[in-house]
Amino acid sequence: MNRLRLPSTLASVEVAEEWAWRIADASGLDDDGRYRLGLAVREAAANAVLHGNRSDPGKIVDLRWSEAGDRLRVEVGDDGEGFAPSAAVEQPGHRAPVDLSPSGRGVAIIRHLVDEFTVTRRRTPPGTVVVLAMARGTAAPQGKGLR
Amino acid sequence: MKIDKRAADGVSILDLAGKLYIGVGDLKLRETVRDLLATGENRVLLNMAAVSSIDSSGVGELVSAYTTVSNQGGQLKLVNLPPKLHEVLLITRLAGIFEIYDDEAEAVDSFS
Repeated sequence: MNRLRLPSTLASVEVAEEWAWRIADASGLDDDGRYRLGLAVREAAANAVLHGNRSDPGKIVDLRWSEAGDRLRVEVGDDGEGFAPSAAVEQPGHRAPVDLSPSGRGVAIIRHLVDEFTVTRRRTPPGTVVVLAMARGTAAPQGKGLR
Repeated sequence: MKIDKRAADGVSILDLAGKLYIGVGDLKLRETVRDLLATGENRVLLNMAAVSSIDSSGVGELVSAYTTVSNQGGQLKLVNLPPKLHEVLLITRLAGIFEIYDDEAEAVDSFS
């Protein structure tokens, strides 16, 4: 369960979210934490499938999770470019004009749902690793939970 | 995702139920809105009460539906938006784009 390797298909996005729910349950996250982790992993997996691996089912989306103290850490790796660089480096609080295009909102959603979000380019083998981290067993951070 | 259609005072109301997610719900919404516009129905109210979750593709499809209907001279509005969905629209800075109502009768009246 600590690692899951999936083909780059849309069906894998569903599997990734369900995997995240099981992690949340095993880690004792409350319902809100379970929802936040599931949606964040879903978004990261969708980006890995669509943008990183360009829906090539022969390329793998590699998910791993670990715990360190009170932190829950999930990695979502792909074999490609991952997030569009402009989106990945967008800083919190950046106020771009309202965007009515149909795509490009995954990063904003992930950034809101988890406590930490980083994107790292990997040279060997080439690819991108997205790291999501959140506190477990605590209330949702201010402004991040459901009201 | 399940979408049921009904009408009230010349407004097409779509009752959405389930997950508005990539590859399923988003495509169904696109097809349903396209079918409405093909028959000249361009006053569209999306009842979101039974939508359990939305991802970025679902948000993108809401935006596409909004712009498609607007570009054809119509209006698309939302009613009964659950808190989780409202939060996602706020995160993506789209909550201000849509007219969002808590009451269906009020939403229907707003089209006239």
